[in-house]
Amino acid sequence: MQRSAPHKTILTLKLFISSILFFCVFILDASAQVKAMETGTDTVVNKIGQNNKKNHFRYFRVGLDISKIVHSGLADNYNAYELLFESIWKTNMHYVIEAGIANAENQSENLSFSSSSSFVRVGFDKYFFDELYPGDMDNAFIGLRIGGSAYRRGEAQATIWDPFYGNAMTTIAATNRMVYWVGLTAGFRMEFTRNVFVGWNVRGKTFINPNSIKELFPVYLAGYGAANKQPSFNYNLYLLYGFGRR
Amino acid sequence: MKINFKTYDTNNNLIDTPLLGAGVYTTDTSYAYADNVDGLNSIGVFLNKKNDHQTFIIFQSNTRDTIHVFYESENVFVSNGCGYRVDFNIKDVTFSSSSIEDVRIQNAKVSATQNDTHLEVIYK
Repeated sequence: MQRSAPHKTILTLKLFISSILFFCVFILDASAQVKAMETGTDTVVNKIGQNNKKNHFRYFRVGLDISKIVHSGLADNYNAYELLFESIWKTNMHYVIEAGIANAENQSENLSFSSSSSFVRVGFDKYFFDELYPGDMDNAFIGLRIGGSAYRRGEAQATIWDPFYGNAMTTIAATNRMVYWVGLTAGFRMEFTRNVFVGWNVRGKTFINPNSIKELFPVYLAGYGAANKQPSFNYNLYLLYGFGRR
Repeated sequence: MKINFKTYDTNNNLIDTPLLGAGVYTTDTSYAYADNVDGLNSIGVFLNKKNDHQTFIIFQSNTRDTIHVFYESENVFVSNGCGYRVDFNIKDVTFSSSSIEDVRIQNAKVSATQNDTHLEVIYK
């Protein structure tokens, strides 16, 4: 879709505002909704709700995290891949499922083991802005996720250094664990050609059951990142394709 | 593991006792932790994780005593980079009494991260 210069300026402005002040906007947006409900604008709210119901789950997006592919190519100790699937529940509210896999190798002179993990994150994204023109889907959001990863660590070999009596090798048995976390995310989506989007997410997350992975943590846990960090922060760069009725 | 040498003074208080002509050895190796040393107040010795007990021979002024230390070892995770260290837990101590009156376990947990006294050897 060809856009005029004012539209591009406004898009840039939206990107800037959403990147710097998304928390403020979200809080203001939430408080405005509460105020509207408190002041008795039920009729308006209901009308919007009725219109939205017609649009439930009619438009979908699937996305691939490009940054993970690049990172996997550059890193010598892990590979990770992530996909995203989302659907518009109602105006400015998307439900999101993200999934992926990772393999990691921890190799040092003291400890070596390999691990694999797969994850699912579910949650929602709350978008900030209304359409600037019909079909405008460029927008910023903030979202909540709950994630779980099935983690399998292979048998680990550890060297225990003892310069006096001699070094000893020990083996730690393989294990399977489930690890859960909760996180906040914020980001932006921009449609650069019809139904093809690019976007980014920044994420902050913390384990719900950190004790399940407090020893021999993987270099990279699928969906979470470096498992020795609590909380953990990272980002995604997505290429997305949208389909369905807009 | 750190061993302190003590004796009772005339008021029945425990005080540090420097050993004279002291030698400290283990039956596991030919290494001498101390060999004919004067003024030895304390000494650090290594426990062997491959065993569950160890025997130390302590000479003092040509008097020989033997201390048997019984322990358990435990691998403790440090980090992915450092791997594991071994901590020990002293379970029991037996000793001969040529010149030793008593051996007390002051701190049963032996860890590379601590510098506590683990055994007090009390001379007559």
